[in-house]
Amino acid sequence: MGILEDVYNAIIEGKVEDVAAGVEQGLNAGIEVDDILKKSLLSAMDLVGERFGEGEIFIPQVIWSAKAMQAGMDLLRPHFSEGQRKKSARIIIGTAQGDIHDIGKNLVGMMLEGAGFEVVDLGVDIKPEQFVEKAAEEKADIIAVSALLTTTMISMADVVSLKNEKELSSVKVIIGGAPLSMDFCKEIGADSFGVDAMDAVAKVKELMDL
Amino acid sequence: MISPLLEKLKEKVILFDGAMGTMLMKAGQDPIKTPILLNLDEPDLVADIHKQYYVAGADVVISNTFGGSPLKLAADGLEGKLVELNREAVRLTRRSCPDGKFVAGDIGPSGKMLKPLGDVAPEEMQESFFAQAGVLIEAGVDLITIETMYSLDEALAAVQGVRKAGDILLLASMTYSKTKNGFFTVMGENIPRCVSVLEEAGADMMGANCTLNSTDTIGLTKELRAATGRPILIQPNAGKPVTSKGLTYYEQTPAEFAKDAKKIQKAGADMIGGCCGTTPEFIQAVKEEIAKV
Repeated sequence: MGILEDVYNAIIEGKVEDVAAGVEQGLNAGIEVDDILKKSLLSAMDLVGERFGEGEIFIPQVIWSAKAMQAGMDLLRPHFSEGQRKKSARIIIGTAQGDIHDIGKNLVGMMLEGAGFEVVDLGVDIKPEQFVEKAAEEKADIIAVSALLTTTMISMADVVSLKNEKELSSVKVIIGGAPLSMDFCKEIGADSFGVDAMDAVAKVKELMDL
Repeated sequence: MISPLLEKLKEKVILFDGAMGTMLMKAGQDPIKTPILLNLDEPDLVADIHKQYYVAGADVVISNTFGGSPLKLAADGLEGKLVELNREAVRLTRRSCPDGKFVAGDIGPSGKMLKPLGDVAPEEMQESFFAQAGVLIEAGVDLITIETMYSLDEALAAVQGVRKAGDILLLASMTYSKTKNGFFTVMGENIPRCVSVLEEAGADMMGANCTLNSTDTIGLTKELRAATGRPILIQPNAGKPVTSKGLTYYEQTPAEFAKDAKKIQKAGADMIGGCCGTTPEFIQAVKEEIAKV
């Protein structure tokens, strides 16, 4: 369908207004919300993620595509059915306590939003209590913790133990950052580990059984 | 008048120091505290780390002012301490610096993105670096090193800011990732492009630091060498940190790093130092390896 393809391409090219206009047009033409979401928005961001992972495109392109995708998402969201809302898992993301590196976290947040998830970004230097409290407050499905400094990795273990203490064991924890590994993830009892932004999306989909 | 450092460059490979952040963590410092505050709170510790690097063979030691620009300080509410923090940092490095060696004033990224991706205007960015550079120059550094820049636009603002503050010897070092298509900043800029823009803006020396380990950096050095006739500084990481059963160690040994440093020298580096995970031991090993014929 012409409109779906136009929106898809506009996202790849990071054209915010064209995406908004296209989605508007699609809705008016009676195209299924689910089709616009999956065939245009999500699959476009899949390609963006792939290209970024391959080093073919870079942060500015990812940011523009994500902005364009969000513009489309904002128009679609009021039309979501309950089923679509459920698939849109809610993720609390932040950089670990004591750590102020945020580029990686921002990228993961963008890619997760690109994949259709709802992301609540707490920012940097976030205490375990803050992660857990916000997860409870927002009824989040996942807590995502990022760290670049080796010493801040320990606070990730605290996020896991604290959320279990607070009886939020259904909330999954995913961790990411250059110094991390699957071994560390297992050691602290986290549910998953993303090696880069692309992988984070794949792992979150796994955690949500998607 | 030619800077004594540039004179020395003609005689030998200039050695820079290794990491400060990881050394502070090794000394048991609270990682939650931003490193620049330690210039006020633990001056002896900072001065001692500087001294260890000079003793190990570094010709140039970089001041503990990486996060010292007003924009970066503001993230911790410390912009009011701009002068105090930067000035103290340089004083501590100078205090440890023997005659004939050098003190570099460090300028790191602002932590912000430029419009339209982020919310900082280019003039604001430049002004922030100009303010920090002014303090460093006044405090008496021999040169300024702009480091770990991942955005060419930001690096340009930094070079422009320093140049506005003075004629001081200026090195601009970018950080590059290795992709299947070559070396690029995360923003997508390649080596020739970065070098061309920064040279034009007034940087005297070029560099690359962080992100990559010493082995991957050998190829990068060749590219950087081919892209510029200016002196180049290469500062790789000591591999990746690994944490297992509560212990953290960097996967690369000083000996491995030093062997790569020799190759980096052969690839055309005029100046060599170390970034994340390196220690005085690393610099000592590099010095010894380079001295071998």
